[in-house]
Amino acid sequence: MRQHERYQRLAPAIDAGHFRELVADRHLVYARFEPGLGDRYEGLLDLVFAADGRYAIVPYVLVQNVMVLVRESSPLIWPAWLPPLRSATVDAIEAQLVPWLRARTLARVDGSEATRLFTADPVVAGEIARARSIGWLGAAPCAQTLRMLAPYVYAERFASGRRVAVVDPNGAYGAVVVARDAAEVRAELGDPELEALAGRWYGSDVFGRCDGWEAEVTIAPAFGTARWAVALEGGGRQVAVVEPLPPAITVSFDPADAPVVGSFGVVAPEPELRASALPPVPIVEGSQGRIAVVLRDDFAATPDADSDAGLALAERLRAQGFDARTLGVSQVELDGWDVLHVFGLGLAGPLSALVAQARARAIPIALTPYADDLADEAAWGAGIAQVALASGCDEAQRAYSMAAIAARNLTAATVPARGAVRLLANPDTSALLAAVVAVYPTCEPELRRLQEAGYRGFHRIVPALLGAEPEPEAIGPLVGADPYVLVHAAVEPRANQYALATAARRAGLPLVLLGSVRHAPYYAEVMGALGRRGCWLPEADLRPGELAALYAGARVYADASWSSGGLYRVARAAAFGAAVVAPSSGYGRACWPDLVREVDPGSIASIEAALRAAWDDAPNLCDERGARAGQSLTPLPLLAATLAGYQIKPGASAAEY
Amino acid sequence: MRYSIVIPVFNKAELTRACLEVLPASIADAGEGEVIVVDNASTDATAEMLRAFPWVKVIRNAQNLGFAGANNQGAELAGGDFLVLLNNDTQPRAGWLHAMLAVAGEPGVGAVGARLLFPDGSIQHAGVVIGALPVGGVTVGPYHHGYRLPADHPDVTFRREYQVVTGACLVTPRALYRELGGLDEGYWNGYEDVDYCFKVRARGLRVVYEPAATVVHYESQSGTQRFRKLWSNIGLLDRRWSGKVAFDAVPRHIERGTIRFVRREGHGSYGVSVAATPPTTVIVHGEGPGPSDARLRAGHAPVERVVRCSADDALQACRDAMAVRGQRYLAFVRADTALEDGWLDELIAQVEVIPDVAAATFAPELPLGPNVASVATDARCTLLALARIPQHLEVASDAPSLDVAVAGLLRRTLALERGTRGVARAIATVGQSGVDASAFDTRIETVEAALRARAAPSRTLTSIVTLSWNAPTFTKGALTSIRAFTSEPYEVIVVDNGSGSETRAMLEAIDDPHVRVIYNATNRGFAGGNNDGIAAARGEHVVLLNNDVIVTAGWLDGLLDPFARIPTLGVSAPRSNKVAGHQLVPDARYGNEAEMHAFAAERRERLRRTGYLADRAIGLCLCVDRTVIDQIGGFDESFEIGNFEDDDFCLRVRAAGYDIYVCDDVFVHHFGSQTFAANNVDYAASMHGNWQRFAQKWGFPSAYPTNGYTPRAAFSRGFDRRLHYAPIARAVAADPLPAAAAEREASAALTLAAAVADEAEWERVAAFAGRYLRAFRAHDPIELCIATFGTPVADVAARRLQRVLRRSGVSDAACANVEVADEDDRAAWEARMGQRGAVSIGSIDDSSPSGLRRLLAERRR
Repeated sequence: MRQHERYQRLAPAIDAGHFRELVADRHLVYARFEPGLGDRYEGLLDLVFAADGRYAIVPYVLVQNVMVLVRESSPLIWPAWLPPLRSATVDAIEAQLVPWLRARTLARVDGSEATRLFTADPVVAGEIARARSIGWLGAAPCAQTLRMLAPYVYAERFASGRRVAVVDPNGAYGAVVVARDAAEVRAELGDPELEALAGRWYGSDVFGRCDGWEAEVTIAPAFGTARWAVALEGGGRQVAVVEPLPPAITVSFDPADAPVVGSFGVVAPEPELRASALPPVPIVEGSQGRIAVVLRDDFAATPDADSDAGLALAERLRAQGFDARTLGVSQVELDGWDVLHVFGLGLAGPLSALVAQARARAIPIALTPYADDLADEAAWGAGIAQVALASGCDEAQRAYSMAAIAARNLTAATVPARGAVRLLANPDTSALLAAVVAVYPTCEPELRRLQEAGYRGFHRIVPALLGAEPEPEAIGPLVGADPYVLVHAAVEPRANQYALATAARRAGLPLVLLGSVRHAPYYAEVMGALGRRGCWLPEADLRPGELAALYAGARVYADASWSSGGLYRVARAAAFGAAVVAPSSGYGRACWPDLVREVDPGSIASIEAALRAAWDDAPNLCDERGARAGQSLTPLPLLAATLAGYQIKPGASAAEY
Repeated sequence: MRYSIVIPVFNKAELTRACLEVLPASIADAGEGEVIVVDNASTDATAEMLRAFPWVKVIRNAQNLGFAGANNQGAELAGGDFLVLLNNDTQPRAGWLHAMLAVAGEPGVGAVGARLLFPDGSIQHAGVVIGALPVGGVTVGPYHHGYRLPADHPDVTFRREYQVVTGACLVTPRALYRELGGLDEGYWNGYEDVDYCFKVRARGLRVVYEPAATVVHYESQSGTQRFRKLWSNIGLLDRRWSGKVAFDAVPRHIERGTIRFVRREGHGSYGVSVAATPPTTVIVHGEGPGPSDARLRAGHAPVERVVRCSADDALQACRDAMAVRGQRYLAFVRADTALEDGWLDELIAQVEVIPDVAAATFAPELPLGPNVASVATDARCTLLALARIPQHLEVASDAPSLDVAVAGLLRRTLALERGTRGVARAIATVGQSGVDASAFDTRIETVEAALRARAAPSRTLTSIVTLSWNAPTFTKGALTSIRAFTSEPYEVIVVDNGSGSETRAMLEAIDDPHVRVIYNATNRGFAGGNNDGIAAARGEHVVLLNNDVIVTAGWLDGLLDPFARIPTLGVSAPRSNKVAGHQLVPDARYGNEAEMHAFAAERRERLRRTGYLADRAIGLCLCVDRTVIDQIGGFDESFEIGNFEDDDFCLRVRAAGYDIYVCDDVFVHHFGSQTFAANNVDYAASMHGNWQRFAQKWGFPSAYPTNGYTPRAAFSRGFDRRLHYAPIARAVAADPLPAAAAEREASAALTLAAAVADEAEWERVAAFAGRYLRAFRAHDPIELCIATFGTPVADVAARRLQRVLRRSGVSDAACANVEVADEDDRAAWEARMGQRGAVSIGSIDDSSPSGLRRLLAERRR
């Protein structure tokens, strides 16, 4: 039996005994196939089983369509979150379904939804038709069911362990979804007969009146008195619901994903926020100078740790009276600047022509190197992870691939071999290092790495020069009052969010993923991997104060990237006293050896263990942690160190390459 | 002004700069024109960068209008006669525009595309072919022809027409562009060019690919374009054009690429590649001259040969054309059929929609449309994809007409889940059909019912053939493991190839009712020895198994399982610890036999019912369907001792149209080359020698291929019985029966009766007879009485049975008793059979050889 671990957020509560009794080939009454588009051309299959007036729904069976033709294995991939089924049962059900799928393929019927009744019972057929007409799981198209489900997916994290009241005629599916983790659910659909049918359809006893029942969480047309509430008719913080695009995008609240088709309001209590341990930076008058902070060209469209660092530096410099601007690398011209401060050795290539000119004109270039990727495997790791995801449809394939990645045991023709791409070994990097007047490594090990690459010039250790924190704003409706693990990075294979989402899901930890999307197919994989306590917040929608609050409320900050582009965000979280998980590919642990738990970015197991340990340990000594982090991150000395480098004259460093 | 180049940009200033820097020199010979850059609200240094190019006209948008919107904006401003759409992530080479404008200026041309190369010099675009997306989903899918081929590949270096060329570099008359409404802004950064080209074609204008125009394309994405629009783009394209555009007659293969695990096994991702169109033989049959050669060739698809014959000769012509199949098409056109232009292109396109299509047809009884499948069809205007019709399926030589024969053949191919499709447009005018109307049943329920009717066969006898040549310890170990881990029913045939006394003693001491031993006086080699075993085998499947192996729990069930799932499967094979090529499990590490079994059991559970199709498998362990042996024979005994006989066998399996499947969930431990080691044979010399024979037979280079060889080119030529059939030459191998049983009983203990009134009944009886002949020999007290009441007559039936007998390798003298007679009075015959206590074959539940043997055994009790 092939299985997948996707769509956990969409899984209804299932009574295992009821399920095993009903799910058998002789009870199969209805199948609904929905084609999908994407790298693997998977479709979705919903199955309905019935006996004695009771139903069992098996939703979200993925159909690996190419297997209908190639037949190397079963085309059906079952959700792993279903109660266990015997192989013989699965085989028998598949024997019912596959000829239908094959006949449709042979006839090449058009690419729309297809349904098949496997029963002649008019009562069952009638109830299925009714369920379809009202948009119930198993019978109705995904676009319909998921649109109605959206507020419940949003509320799932809030509902965990709490009493939930649902008042919503369209809330049957949503009620059984939140029922998975809620302490208790009562769902009022507004029609006793409908509630009775819903009870039989979903095999659940949550349906009935909520009058007089005190709930901690409500999902209803309007807000009531519950502290956590979703108002289906608006109010509170508005959350957009976008059009579902299964199988890749199911429930999404990011308008960048698809057209907006609805919205709802949310109120929730605020999480406990900690203060950053960073002291304020006094303004020292009399500074002048024109400093170009050079970042990658798309820094505005896709912010990340490096751009945060560059923007923070520019802000600090301007506060001190300097003329500091942030520029994309292709915008930079030498005229008009006293110093160029380049963020990232990765810009060496685009800067190569400019570097030679700067050297000739004796314009100083300072560098924050980000010479991480200690094992020279970031290009391999990021590439191979995406290939493994794109080629692995079921969990067995993915687990095998991921284990091979952890063992550094996987290659693909389209991915550079481990060690083939070395940041410090290309001519442009050498030329840049030869030209710069000052470097700002995060720690001594990074400095040594640069020196091994030939750098002999001026340096100052700058773990991260953090910007001033804005006043935190309300984030309760975004993340609720419960603690969470925060991951903040552009979504792409390099940042390894799939591994983080999977690890957090397996550890049962609430995860808040934050960032811009740089790699859309990878983003779809990450969304599919989110567990019931995971959520994604589009960074573009957040105000600076909300962002600050997210850091301030994070119990754990996690970075498991193949190469991180700097420690800015790790440092920011550490300054707020979060327990920090950082990758062995970088210098997190080197900077803060007793504050950072290190993980192997290639090992989901390693990330899971570290997340668990960090979570458990987090409440302890968080103020002390913040204070210790704050000491190493006190901005003024770091700013002074940076400015010291700007005063080095070109040629004075005597770097030899 | 001759041309206006429009370049939409969104960030990626660097790329735009690089493009603009090379542009002037590359268009120096194109005459007077202008360049318009439409900046879609870039947020990087694009605006500043563009100031360095004062000769560029710039439109700056406050928001991103997308590819279509930006191009339309540019077109509004443009003043040239021709509009040139050019991506910013390109670097055109000298002369590109001159070449494209030359074509664009020809009458009837609506759009011109260029040859786009990746930075590494391989093809990124050489025209776009239209096909169906692999499965599920929508129907209209564009594919890049020649993707990743070398830039100078013959397939991409000539000017040709397509339905679509890419908008990354496209020239079109500006007036036409405006008339057609430009690019449809309902698309978002995808498929606007496909839609535009469809509009051009709908106008009756041509879309031309001009390879003399060469442009390097970096194929970047502007900013963070989400995939979200992909769905709406493809959906929009499909909704707008499905059923209105034809599929291109270019076959697409679903190919299994692999990611490779350094020390572990990998699995595959599936991509679609486009190949050259195979050639077609056309049989024009019936009375009258039929369509002319020029009419037959009016289209793009290559017609290799035209055979014209009368209705009487049509069947033989068909059989002759189907004798060797491979990657070829066979078209039938009845002489009274009037063909339209492109008739063959349309048929081929429908055949190539998905790999499970065996035939495409035009018949007025079938509706027109992109999604029509029927049970069968006839020979008025039909195309067969010969590679998809396994060798054992033939047209009946004594069918009353070619129409009836083709209909019968296609019904049988449907049983193997290979179907018949109709066409999307009328491609001919045809006369009346000569077949049963049920052949044109297009209801999907009927197709589904036909697929369901192919029920999973019950488990039948499997014959396990293993060779022994000294090395008795290993043979004994193999037999022990077979006995421990093999589920019933099975038999084991040990063929001893002239071993010494120690081995013979071990074999003679075997006390296992499953095991029979054949003693050869000399070493007949891998091929000869296995052929002896096959000749003696009675099973529906024959497993050829090395003796230096240990089998594991569930091994045989695992090898047999895929035969139920894959209708055209001919051979299945396991994975192993020591085997060349893809079957190797590189991380098979265990310290002892117990650990090995645990390893195998874990794999069996984890990888249950997974595996992959392959073009060859190693002869270490091959599970072969008896049908395949009947078609291709055994092993080629011209190979000496060992090596490449299995390659040859597999090529013949594939050439005959059968599949080979490797079971990931079946693991067989292999000690490896023990037979050679035990007999001091120079393994390397044996291998090199046999390669020469193999290479000569299949057309490979004679030099030993250290990096392997590609089998597809060889088996794509098809199975030629004259060249490739390997007779199992020896008489029936010694079957060591007790002397008493060798005497024939005076009268049959069991009479089986079969009545045949038509070809349909004959097919059932012939299939039964084949199983009967495999199950029994002359000494068995059983007889099969076949009465013919119509067609075929007894003589014809008897000749057909002779062919079945020859294929089974059983001599006339050794075969079980079969009586075939013409009868007039069915009632009288039935009465006679009743008096003899005959059993009608139609009443037998299990007519497999083992089932029949059980039936005889019960009757004898």
